[in-house]
Amino acid sequence: MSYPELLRVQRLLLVFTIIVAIPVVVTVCVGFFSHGTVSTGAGAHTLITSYSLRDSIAEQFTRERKSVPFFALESIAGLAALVIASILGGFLANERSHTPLAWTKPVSRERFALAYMGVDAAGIVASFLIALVLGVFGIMWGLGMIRFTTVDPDVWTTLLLVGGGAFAYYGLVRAASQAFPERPSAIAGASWPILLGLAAMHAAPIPTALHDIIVALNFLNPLAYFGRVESNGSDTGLLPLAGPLRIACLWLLAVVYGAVAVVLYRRAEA
Amino acid sequence: MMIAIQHLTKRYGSQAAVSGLDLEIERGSICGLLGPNGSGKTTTFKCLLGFTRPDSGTLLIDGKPLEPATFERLSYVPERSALYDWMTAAQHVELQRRSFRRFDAARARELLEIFRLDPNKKTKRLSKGQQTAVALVLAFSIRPDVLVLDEPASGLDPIFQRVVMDLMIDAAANGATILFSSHQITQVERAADHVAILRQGKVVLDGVVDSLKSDEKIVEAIFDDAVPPVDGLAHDVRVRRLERSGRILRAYVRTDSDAIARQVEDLHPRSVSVLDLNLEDIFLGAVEPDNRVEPFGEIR
Repeated sequence: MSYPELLRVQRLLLVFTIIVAIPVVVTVCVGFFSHGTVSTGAGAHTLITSYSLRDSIAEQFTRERKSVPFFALESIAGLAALVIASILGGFLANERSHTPLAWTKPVSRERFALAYMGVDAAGIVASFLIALVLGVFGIMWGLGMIRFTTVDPDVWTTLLLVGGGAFAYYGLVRAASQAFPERPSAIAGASWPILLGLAAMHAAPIPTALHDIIVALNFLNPLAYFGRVESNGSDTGLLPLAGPLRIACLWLLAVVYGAVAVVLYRRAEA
Repeated sequence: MMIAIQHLTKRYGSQAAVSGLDLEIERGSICGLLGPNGSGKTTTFKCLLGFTRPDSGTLLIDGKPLEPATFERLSYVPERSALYDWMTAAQHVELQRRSFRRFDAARARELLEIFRLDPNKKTKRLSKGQQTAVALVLAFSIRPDVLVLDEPASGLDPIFQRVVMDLMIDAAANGATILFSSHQITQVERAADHVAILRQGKVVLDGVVDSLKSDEKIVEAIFDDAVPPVDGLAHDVRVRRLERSGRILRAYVRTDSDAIARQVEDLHPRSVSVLDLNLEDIFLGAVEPDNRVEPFGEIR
């Protein structure tokens, strides 16, 4: 019954993979084939050494004892998954013009909506993995930086945060597009400036009353929950919530928005 | 009764799309739903299929209110294509296969061949008639017990219109109950054994086609000049309705059509004939307002 959504998600992921692969190919080409030379010594003892960009980066990381924390890579992949989540969020409302096909299947509307959301959730996870494995690791490999990656204890908290954020964003767009089903794509597109603007206004110098409203609204804004959650308890979030509570609230938000979307879908009329 | 609609009312704002509609269709029957645009046919379908909630009334399919499991044996073909334009006919068939336990793959292949459809062509590249054909393939491929078809031959050429009618007759012969709407009365006349005529959201005429046809006769007279005064006929209780169109007089007669024909002959027309009613006559008689406008000026 969610076969069309499966096909849609497959197509979207194919396009996404191609988009992700482009910078990877460019980086690998630059990393492996961009060579420079350095001359040491003088006269007959001059030694000309050829080096690649990979060598240069490796040398710098080794010299300065730098590393790339894994949670940072997760965050980049999480951002990509967030974009995919916002696109997928409007798809169920797009089903409006196919109601005679969708609503004449021997399943309840709730089950139908949940099946769709299940396919989309799998698509979001897949987009995260594509962005992480192909995109981020591909670029890191092209630049020879994989071996400088460090796995720290924040890996799991970051994973929970970006996962919860992507699903909450998806749920929000899904619920909003279900409430205003005429323009699901516009809602998905407008969600970015609105939610980013709301998060940005949190720290803006605005009157107290307005600030309080913004803070309250930001509790509903998945983007406001982002920020580093460290395993030692310290964090850098926008909202006054401790790290674990912030993650729990984000996942709760995802469930609530998803439930609202299902209820609105069940009540919809053609 | 396979389909029972009782006192159905659906309003959009202050406008009643359907008002106290009653309709019952027996198992194995083909019911043609006729009515002018805006008479409530599509709204009736939407309520029957649960697409919209009625304000009041009861809708039963095989004695039970609509539930998800009902769709395992109910197919619907909408008037406008609801297909995914980026999917192929084969992918739509695959969607049916995944959705219905009763899906019959051999039947689907057979229907694709009957309608000469390329299964690998995207729906957006198909003509309106071919899109209707894909919808029909999907509907008939689950071998449903109930078929609800809104303008099922829309956009099809006469050859495939005939195919659709034959599919409906074949399905009904195998026990399926069919409710369909059409603006083409000849299609309804060919396929339906039962007809319901809607006007302003109400069923104004409902019955077995053959019985409705035999209920009345038309006495048609053609005059050399204008139709003379027909006061006597106008007040005759045997005459339900009188129409004149230029030099033609038509009397819709309930009984004693031969006696009425003799009465008309006394007016010295060029010719008088007694005709059987066809479905178009029944339809027009049911949906036309009481005072018809010229050139069909109604006398009574």
